[in-house]
Amino acid sequence: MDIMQIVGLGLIATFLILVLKEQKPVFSFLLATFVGVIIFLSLIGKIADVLHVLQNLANKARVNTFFLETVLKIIGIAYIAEFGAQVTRDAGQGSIASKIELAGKILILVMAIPVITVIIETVVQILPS
Amino acid sequence: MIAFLSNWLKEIVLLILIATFMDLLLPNRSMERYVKLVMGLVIILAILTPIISLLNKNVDLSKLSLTDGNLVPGEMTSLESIHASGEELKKTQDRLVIEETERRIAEQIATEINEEFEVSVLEKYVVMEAATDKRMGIEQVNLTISSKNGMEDSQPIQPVTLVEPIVIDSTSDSPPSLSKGESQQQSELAQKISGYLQKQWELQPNQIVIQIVEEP
Repeated sequence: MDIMQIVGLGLIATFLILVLKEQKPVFSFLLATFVGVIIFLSLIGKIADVLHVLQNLANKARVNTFFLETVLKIIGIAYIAEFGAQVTRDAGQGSIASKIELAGKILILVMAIPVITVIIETVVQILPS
Repeated sequence: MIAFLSNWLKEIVLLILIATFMDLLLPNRSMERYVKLVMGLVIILAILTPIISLLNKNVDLSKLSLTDGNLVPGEMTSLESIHASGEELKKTQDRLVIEETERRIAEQIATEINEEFEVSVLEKYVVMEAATDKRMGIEQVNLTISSKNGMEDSQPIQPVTLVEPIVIDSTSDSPPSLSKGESQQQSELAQKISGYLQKQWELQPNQIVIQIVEEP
């Protein structure tokens, strides 16, 4: 989707939400979430393009697939956690938003666990016993 | 080795590139520190990969260097002996080649003379000149020829050799010169053969030794 379309969609949704907020606050929140999801989905194609380029580069340079998988998973986790946290924050649930962010951070650190183990094992092997 | 290094460097450079892209792509400041930590760890792991593969292969570096040190002097001594034996082999081969050439040329000369003069060659041997680079020449040709051919061929030749002296002798001299004429004929034959060889093989007259043996 073009940037104009996305901005237009956002502006229309904003005006609608401003109008709706007076009458039905719940619907206005639903509309905001829905528009957010649609914008996110429309951007997924572009993100996929970027990821494909990165993957092609990695294949050409014969980068270990383990590294690339880890990196891509980190990007995905960061994006999804961010999205969820913002939606909940919009709904006025700041505490749940911070919990989602915490979950995202912990999952990102879990991604690092195999890498950390390999590094520590290597260092232990190098050091003379 | 270079290919391995280039692959390794490519991997690291690409990972750093991807990490930069990720920094740009990240939605929130709050995630940045965590992502940076993980990316740093991944890059460290990529840098350490060759060391890990070395450790997995269990390559004993000290042993490697020791065997190298042991091998070098051994190779030096054996190299000399290899050169020496190579020289010897080359000499032997040259000798064998010369012998074979002599044999073949002798065979060929014998068959040629056999066909041309209807005599049988009893002994033949050829001496080759010492080789200069890639050219070889014939030094000497020794032939022992019986003027009369084998058993059955001797019959038609016998009358011819007998007839000619008789014609000449009848005009001039007495029977005893038959033997003399025969020896003269022998020398004539030798002359002919030598001339033929000179023409055919481009030899000097003094290089050809022909003995003609009277065969009963």
